[in-house]
Amino acid sequence: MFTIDSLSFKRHFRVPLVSTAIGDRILPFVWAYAGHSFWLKMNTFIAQPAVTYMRDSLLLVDGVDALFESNVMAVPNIKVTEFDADNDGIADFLNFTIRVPLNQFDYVRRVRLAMFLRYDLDSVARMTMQSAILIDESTPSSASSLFVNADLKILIRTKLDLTSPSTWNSPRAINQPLNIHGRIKYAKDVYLYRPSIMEVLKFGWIQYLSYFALVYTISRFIFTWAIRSGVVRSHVIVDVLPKQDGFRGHVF
Amino acid sequence: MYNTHLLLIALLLHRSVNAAATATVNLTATLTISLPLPTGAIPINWTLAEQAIAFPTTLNIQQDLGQCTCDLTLNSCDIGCCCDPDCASLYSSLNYKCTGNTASNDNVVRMCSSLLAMVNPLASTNLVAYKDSDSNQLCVVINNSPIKGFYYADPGTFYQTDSFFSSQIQMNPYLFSRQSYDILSTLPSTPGTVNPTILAQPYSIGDYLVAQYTDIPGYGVFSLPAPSMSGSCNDGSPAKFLVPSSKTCNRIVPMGTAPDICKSGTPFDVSYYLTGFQLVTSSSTQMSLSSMSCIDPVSRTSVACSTIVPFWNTTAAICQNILTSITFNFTYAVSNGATTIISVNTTTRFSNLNLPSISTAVMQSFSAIWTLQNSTPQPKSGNPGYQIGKPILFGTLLTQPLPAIAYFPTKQSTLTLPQDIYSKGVLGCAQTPGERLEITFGEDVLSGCTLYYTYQDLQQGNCANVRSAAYAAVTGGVQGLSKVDVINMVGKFGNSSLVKVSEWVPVISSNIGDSSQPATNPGTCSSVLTALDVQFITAKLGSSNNPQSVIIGARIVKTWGAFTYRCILPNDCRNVGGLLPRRLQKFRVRASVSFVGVNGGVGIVQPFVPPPPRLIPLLPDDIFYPFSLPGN
Repeated sequence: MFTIDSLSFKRHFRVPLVSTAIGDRILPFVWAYAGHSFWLKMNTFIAQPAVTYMRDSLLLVDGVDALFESNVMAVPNIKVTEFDADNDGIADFLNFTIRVPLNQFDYVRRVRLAMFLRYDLDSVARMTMQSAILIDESTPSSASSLFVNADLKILIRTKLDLTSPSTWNSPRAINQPLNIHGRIKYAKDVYLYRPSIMEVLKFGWIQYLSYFALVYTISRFIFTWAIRSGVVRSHVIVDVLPKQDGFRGHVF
Repeated sequence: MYNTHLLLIALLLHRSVNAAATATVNLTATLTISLPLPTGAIPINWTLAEQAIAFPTTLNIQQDLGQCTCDLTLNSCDIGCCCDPDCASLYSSLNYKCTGNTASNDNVVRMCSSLLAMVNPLASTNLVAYKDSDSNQLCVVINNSPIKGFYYADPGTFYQTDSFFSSQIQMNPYLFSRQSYDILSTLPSTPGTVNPTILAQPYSIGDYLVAQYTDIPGYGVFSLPAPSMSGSCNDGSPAKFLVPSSKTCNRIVPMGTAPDICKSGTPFDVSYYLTGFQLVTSSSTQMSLSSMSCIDPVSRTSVACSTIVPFWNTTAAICQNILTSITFNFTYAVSNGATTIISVNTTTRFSNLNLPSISTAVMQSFSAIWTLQNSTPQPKSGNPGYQIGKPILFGTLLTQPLPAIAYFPTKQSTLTLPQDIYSKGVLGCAQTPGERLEITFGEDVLSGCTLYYTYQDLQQGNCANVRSAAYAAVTGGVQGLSKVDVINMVGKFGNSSLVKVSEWVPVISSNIGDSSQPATNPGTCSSVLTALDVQFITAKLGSSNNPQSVIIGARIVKTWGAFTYRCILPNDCRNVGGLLPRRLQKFRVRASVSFVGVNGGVGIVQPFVPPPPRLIPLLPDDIFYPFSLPGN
């Protein structure tokens, strides 16, 4: 008779579940976790806020006695323009000029200005708030004009802040009003946020998977060698019949 | 949206044509009649109005409308604007090579090189557009963005290749010696020297104007004072050929007694800027400015400038005839391939000021205007879209003999806003149009001014005076004749044509409050115009790469209120020492300008309805980051 076909009987080496689990399922997690920042607790994104000046401001101009003698000052006029330099529909900076007519002998030493803003964020985190730009500048000499050029920065849970290099000009000409010129740039900002569960799981899974691939490859090799060579005790079960497709114990 | 707008324009034009067809019975005869235009309006060329009706133009908003945004003066060359048709003869006469074929922008530095192989544009990939037309080299611009806050030096237009790049990358040692400092400047001031070399050739654009002095024979720059770092006037600042300029600076009042400061020969004297030198107009010709005429501030007549000198008025303790503003109007001509200064005249403004003994300053402004001989330059506020900070075009619709717009071009003749100014020792409402606030595109304004009245002034019999004074303070004119009553159209574009009514939008006028002048209580004057609000709806039109700002709606709201004398302080309402009849209270009038943008193009403003949520979310723009999607 000829051997027309052959099928192999498999030997199964069985060990307690816990040892294999520790070997190639738990170890990658421990390894990744030990490297810190496994669970993503804080993340950042960069966005440009949609800032709108609410056409509402408070101006307090301090001076020396002469200013107070003039009791109530004249009506200041304020000019504001919000520029959208890149035509993306979001204002990029705010220009303002405030002209305060003064009497000949008025002296200005300090300017305090609050300009109220609506601040919208509509990307990873959504937020709408009302806040204010605060400018408080003083000068030792009588001033004719103040220039403010600043970036609007968000300080989360405190206030909007200005990085404001300001310049005073003095003295004031007797026929000159006080002019306050400003440019506030609505800059792109970096925001911290707490990631959602899907984002946390994604970052965890990526780390686990990358360690798992490494650990699994190595541990398989070691287990195979250790069990087959009898270094580790195991139950060996040999198939009664070959577990191949379509194999039947009877020929009919 | 755009199509709707086109259709609207077409409909408007169609209606105009129909109206004209019935009206043009004897058009040529009608056109010869010169109708009186409203005060301050510029004349209308009725022949062009006829053509505008016969050949209506339609707006193709699919194309880039802003092809030449730097051409901001009709009938006059905007220096540095290469696409301005008015500049062609001037540039050729000056042998001036204008680089760049679109908007001139000081922030943009252009560099061309054959070493540049390709560009990676965001939108189109038409390489020809980036090639220099003369050299066929590829050009890049460095955008010196003041917004981003960094700058590059101008490498000039450079056509040679290797040496330029090697000079850019070579290491230069740091030396104290600078050849450019050591070589004698181009304006030798040694007395008695012959004409300096710079005078051997005619002026070119931006050259310093040269003054030839007579007392010590020598040359210097023609002074047009400009602010120094501290804001004080620097008299060494030169006027530049064909470069318009307007500078304001503080003239420091020296220590001393007022009569010593307030006299001729000081910088407060107009002759300081006109005498003792001659303006060199070419290598062989000079022009004296000493016999120039000025408008006398008191008599309002034209007199020799040298007769207007500052003098100390002892009784009033003020210095009279202090020069606060001088404008040099240079007229030039282009003839026989040469550009020369033909004449100079000045516009001056004087003030009477109390010069205190302590060191202080007086604000002065110095301007230079350049006008081509026999031309009537007409400033535009944009070409075609409005530019931010440029004046709004206001006008009145005329129906006879043809539909056209009476346009008020100057600040003196158009609608202005009140503001407080310091004049004659009082802070009060600006009296002349020049002192009032101009309405400019894109700038939201809140302004106002202060009026002073006693209790007597607000009695019933005196109320008419209060009403007319408040009306004049708010609108700058008499009720019924003021520009706010005359204006009913506003230019859609910054260069809207006077003869094309479709390029103008009507102004809606409305009133809030009671203007019927009812009898009121003593101490209260009602039906006073207290506020004026000017509102505009704006939109962006044209190509998304270069959108143009247009006005699509305008409204003027007049608010009528009352002035009431109140007992704020005890002495406001009790007669202590007989001062009550002279007790003045302050009353405020207010004005505002608002610009509201319509997003998404031109159309009728509708209440905001948020778009329905999408079933399939849009592809986020960073999905292939760091690669970008086309069109982003």
